[in-house]
Amino acid sequence: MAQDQAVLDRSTTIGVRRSLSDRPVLVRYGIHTGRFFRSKPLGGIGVVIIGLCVFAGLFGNQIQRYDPETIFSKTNPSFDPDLYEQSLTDPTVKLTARPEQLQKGETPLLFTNPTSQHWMGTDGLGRDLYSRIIHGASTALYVGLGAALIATISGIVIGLASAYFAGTVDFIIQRIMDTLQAFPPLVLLLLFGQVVSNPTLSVNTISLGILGIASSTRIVRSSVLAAREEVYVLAARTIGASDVRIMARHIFPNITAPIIVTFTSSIGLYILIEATLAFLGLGDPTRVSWGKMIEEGRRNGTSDPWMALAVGGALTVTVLGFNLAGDALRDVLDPRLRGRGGRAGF
Amino acid sequence: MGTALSRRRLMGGVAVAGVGAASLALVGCGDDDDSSGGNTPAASASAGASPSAGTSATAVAKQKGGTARFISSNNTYDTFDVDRSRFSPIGVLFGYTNLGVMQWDNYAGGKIGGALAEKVEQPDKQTFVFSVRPNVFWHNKAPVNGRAVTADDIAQFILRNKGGKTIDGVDDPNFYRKASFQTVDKVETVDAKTVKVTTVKPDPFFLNVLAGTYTKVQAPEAIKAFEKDYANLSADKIIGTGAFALTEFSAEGKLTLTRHDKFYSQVNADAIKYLPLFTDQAAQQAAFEQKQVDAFAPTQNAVLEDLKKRYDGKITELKQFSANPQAGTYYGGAKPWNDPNLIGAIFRAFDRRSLINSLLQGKAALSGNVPPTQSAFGINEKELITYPGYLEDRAKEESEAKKMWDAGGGPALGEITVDIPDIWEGLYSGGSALITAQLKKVLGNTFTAKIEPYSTITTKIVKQQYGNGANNLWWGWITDITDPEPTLLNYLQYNSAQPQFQQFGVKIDKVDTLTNSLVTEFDLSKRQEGNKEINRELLKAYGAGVPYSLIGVTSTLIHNYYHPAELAPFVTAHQFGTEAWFDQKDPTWSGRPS
Amino acid sequence: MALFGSYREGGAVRNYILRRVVVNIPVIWLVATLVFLATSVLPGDFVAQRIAAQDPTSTDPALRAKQIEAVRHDLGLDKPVPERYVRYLGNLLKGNFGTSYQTRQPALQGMRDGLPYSLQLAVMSLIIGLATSIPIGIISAIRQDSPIDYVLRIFAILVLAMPSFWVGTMLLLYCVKGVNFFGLFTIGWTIDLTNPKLLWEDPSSSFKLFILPALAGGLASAAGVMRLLRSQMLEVLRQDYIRTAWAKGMRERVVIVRHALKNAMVPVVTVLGLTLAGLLSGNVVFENLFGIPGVGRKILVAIQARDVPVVQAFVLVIATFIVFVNLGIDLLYGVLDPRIRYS
Repeated sequence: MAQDQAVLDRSTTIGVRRSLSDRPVLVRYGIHTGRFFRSKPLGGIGVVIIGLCVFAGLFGNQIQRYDPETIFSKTNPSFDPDLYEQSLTDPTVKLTARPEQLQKGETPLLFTNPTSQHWMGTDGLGRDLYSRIIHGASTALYVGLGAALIATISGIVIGLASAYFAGTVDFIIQRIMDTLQAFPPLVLLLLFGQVVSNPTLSVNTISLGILGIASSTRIVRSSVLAAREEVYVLAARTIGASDVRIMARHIFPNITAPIIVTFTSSIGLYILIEATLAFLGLGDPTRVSWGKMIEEGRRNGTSDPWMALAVGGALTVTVLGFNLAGDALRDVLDPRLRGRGGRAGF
Repeated sequence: MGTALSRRRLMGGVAVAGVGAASLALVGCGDDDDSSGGNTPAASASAGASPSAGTSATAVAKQKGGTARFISSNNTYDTFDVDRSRFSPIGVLFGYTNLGVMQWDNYAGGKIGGALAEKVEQPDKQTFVFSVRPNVFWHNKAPVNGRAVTADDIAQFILRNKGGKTIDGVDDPNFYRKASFQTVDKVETVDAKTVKVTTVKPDPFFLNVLAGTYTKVQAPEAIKAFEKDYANLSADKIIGTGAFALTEFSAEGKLTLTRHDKFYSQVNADAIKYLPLFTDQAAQQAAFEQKQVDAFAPTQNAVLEDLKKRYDGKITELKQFSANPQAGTYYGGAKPWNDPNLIGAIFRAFDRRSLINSLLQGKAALSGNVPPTQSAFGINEKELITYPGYLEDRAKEESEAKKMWDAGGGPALGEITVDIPDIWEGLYSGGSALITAQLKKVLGNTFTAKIEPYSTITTKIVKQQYGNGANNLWWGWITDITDPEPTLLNYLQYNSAQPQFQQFGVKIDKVDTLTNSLVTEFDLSKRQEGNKEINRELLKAYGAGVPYSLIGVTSTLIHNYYHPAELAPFVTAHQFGTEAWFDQKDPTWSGRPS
Repeated sequence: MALFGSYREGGAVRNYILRRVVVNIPVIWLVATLVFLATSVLPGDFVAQRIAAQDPTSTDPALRAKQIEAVRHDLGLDKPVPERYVRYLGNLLKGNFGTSYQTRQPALQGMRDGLPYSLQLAVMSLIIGLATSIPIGIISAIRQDSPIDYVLRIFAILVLAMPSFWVGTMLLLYCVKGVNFFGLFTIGWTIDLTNPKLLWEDPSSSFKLFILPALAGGLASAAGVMRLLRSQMLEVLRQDYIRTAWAKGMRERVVIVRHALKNAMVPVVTVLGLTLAGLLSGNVVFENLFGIPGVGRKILVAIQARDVPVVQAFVLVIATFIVFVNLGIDLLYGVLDPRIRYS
């Protein structure tokens, strides 16, 4: 049966010996995972990074050390009571004294370096940077996963429809996708942000997802067009399977690989674009976002680059994790790169 | 994004971006040799009105030469007809190019002197006699072609602003200063060099109006030639009598101003160049370090300290109060904000010191409805911190706020929106989250921040859409202070007979009485005491529609070779020609790219 | 059977090109309509911006209403939206993109002024991108899974993951400050930020300024190209004709360059084209940071000032350009890979 043939094909595509299928499911997954880590160490690192990021995103409230909004301060050794008293009647003192001389009681811990209390120091308002980076992970994941899901699911539906109905429908859908792709992405996002005027995180996620629809639709559509020329599809057709059945049972399972790869690799990109938007001041101002934090830290330039480095590092590593995992997945799932041994094999 | 904030920084940070530089207030050396300026009650009276950073007078002879280079931010210009403009970039530009009848010789000292008028005499309280300065010429541009200034130029300028009509007799609402000129009853040209103005009633503020930012005299021929085309911005349309002539203009911000050789006094700098659009702090810093621009105002203390250390002895830090106080506004004439319990609770829940210390890195001062920049007319901080909202005892403030909030039925209001201008959030990143978190912590309701462009906020203020049935407020910079004395502004904003009052709608009888009497009061000390009293009344009403809270302090770094003019809103520009100069013998001058 | 369309035989290349061009007309119309709609609903319109932006609290409401009305009338904004739309399309057909609200100059003037700068930045980025990505991609592919492959791939993925806005800032500040290497030598130079020059006006000054954003942008796009090139090379290297070439005893350089690279470049060309199109629309972040008066910065300023005609004109021109770049890529594809049929 063509169907069985397809299944067999798939199992070999992952490069796994068939005898494995006799083992219990959990063991099988364990062995798969072990093999993945051994054959793709970089991908393994990526998976670990993603795991850490997801953990931080889900359990931010448990692993944070402090509330991310709390402002920390210390007693102010530079306080000058006489000068302060003088400043109460003469405002020009405010223009000659150093700010900390006039801060009665406590002064906030602005941009401190890492200490035992604050593992990654504090930010420009005196808040714990470690806790804020942890909370930034959930924002990044929300946008990355959300936008990737929107783009991929819409891409599957529209791409399948476009390839299935062909003709006029295909023509119209492709022209709409052309239109979407013709806009310079950042300009479109800028315009979108201005139209909505109050870009909450969800609004940004949706607009990023919409931007991604064009490319995911293209990938799905071309995969469908390629898959339907395959022998097993012809075989199914010959035995009288309906179009819908062919789409669902024969074509769709065979286009999952590029979809999964695109999905994973695009998450990193969306996280990066969200950071850029937040950096440009087009994000949700009340959410903890890495892009906004980098912007705040970056204002110190070379004078005190710690905060920008720390947050930039978190962002880079996260995006790196998704890229590494995406690369490894593509190597494993993409049949064209399937291992054949030899110098060029995996 | 970053770009947006710079326009407000131009307006907000006093002359930071616009005039490009802060400066030490050169108090006491502002007198021109031949300016015998009018010592009129209002002008000399407000002496000591506003504080200024340095008072070091320089005895060094100012050198001629050098081209100033400033950062020009994302400016927008409405029209090159200054009588119909109110955009601050135009205010700055005309400060360089055109003279008013009068001018601020010393803003900090509240001293008004003559500009186009060499002197002014007041035979009685309702008559002003202006003598035109003899050696003043228009810029050499068609159709005026550098002729001498006449008494008729001044007379036509006053009549045009009073009439508020274009040449073909059409009423134009864009003559923004029309209301201020209604005090004028009659204008007569006694001879070619003398103008006599009679006012309707005794007016202590007429000379302040004439020394204003936008009350600059334009040539009648130029108005005739360009009136219909002034919105089409080009360098040839600005024809003035000022120290510099505009020789190059592009809307994106590239401006060149060249010395007016027939100016009545020595103009030190050869030219002023505004360099287009620099909105990024990092780019500004890089340009400043390479001496490509003469001044830079870092927002971060770390950058400021680092630069001061690295360029020790080569750069100078200048500190000044920002022109725009920070506050919000609301409409207090209807529910929910007509309930003193509710508005008072918000007023007290707002943690001004936390905002100053953490968000502004300590660079700000508390402000009541009369900011410390007009300290002679307001209560001092010692008294201010006895009023609710400003108490040092934060715990008491918060518990009282919560009590008032509950008493006024605050919890039932539900979610409350706080609009924040995009450029404010751009400058003080994280500020909107800080403010809403504070209010939420103390009062319990959900406070959400909404980032909006200023235009949206302004439109809503005018339509009374803050409060008045809606659960919302806004917070940001309010209108800049351009006069060392608050009397006129207090009258316009808080007197219930004035149209601007409709935006706030908190009527206080005592304030009405006080503002009415102060606008015609010639005695300075009475005006000072009266304004203090107004301030106290407004504080008791929790700001009466304009809950002030603080005013920022801007630090500007300049290279030592640069000696700027007095730093005050717009005053820096018109004093630039005669007061600012470049010390080409200073060691820091070398290496400055030409 | 809708699902199984058949390939038409025959090399009607000219027909194909013509058809593709015609097909793009509705796309451009859609873009124009979308831009018109988006800019019509922008909150805080230009009029309000003009009238209200400066003094939030000092205005007489009645007076302001009159002022707003006057400006609206001047700009033709008092007409209903459908009427404005029809007029807008009509003007477009006549090649009239309108006049900037702000400068009163033709809306496309800013684009003409900014294009040389954006173009230079794009070309420099592209050169840096190609000069790094092609050798790295090849080496990484032919030395697959060797340490050097891992190092190069990690480098590429790292560059791809770093936020370019941050990289740009650090490059600028450290270059101006000068970075000292172990007391041996210092890297850093003067960058004329206030007076950006084009290469043919002042080569040295221009190069010193543009090289930094070109590096930051070029490396970021290089990382993507390198990864694509590597996987393409790997696929091509497994093809039979490469084995034949090896078997014939050809030298490695010949096999790699003549046989493998030529074929691996096909999809890379696509990516390059798209990169170029993206770069031409200006790089908002870098142009802002480095004070380059390019297209990206002008469009950002226009959006913020609600200068609707300028936004409409810019987006429409850029989108049209991208549409035709895509067309060009498709055609080039056919030239490079004869297997791809014009269907």
